[in-house]
Amino acid sequence: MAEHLSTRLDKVLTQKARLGIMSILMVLEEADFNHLKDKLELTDGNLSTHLSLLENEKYVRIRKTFSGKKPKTLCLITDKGRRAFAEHINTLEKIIKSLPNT
Amino acid sequence: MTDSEKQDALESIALIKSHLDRSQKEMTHSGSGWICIVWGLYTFLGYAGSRLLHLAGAYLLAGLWWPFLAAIAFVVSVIVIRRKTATQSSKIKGTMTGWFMLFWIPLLLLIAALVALCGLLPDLPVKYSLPFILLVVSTGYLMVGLMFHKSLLAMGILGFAGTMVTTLFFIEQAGLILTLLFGLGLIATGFVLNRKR
Repeated sequence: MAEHLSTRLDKVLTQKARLGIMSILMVLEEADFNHLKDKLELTDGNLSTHLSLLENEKYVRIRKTFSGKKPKTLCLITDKGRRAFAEHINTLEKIIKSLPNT
Repeated sequence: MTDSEKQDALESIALIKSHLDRSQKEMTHSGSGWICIVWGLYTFLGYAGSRLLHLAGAYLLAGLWWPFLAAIAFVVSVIVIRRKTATQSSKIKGTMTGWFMLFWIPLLLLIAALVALCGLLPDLPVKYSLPFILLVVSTGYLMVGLMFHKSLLAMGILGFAGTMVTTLFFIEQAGLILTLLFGLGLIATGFVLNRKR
């Protein structure tokens, strides 16, 4: 059963940085690129790569806007992303509960 | 299931929990500390300025000093909100603007109290006017705090109790004591809120 559960984990969300991005967006719904970069202590390139992956899976939406004259990149969580995140947590909890002495 | 997989699952849950908690706290307290600090400084500068202008015999300027400073503090607060939330989500911006509005409700009561003081209680001795106004403001913070935010509730309780004690036992030094109480109270609340982030 435990073996079966671990295969049900969302492969995109098993990576810690992407899990961090999704956790923040679950609360804030949307966040600026620089805000995520600060909170997760990632480089521009690293964060862009993770966001692209999440966008490809349609877990987040990226929107380019302007704040005054400055360009701004906004990251928004999608309904699909919310469902995937909730499911991922459920699976993690089931894994932990399925094990002895936890 | 191996030990490392079990460890991974536990670590993932801990990571999610820490991000959720931090984002939640940030949303609750974002920037509110700076607003308290701005208004704490306003209290000190307001009292010091009006005392100095009184001593210099510039009574009209002394009367205009508080509203003039209030306008400056309001503009500074708006600038602080804009700068602190420039890279944050609209949810945080909304929370901070809401917090600012909550902060202003008791100050609107202050204006109402001033009007009441002039119109309804013309014979109230001058030394009781500040405690009277601050009791109304503290009641405002108590009401708003009970409904919305425990930091404002704490400010209301402290303000109410402090004003009562000062009025009963130290009425001659009420101006200085209440300025210190409200000014330091606001600045201390500001630092506490900023540290919680």
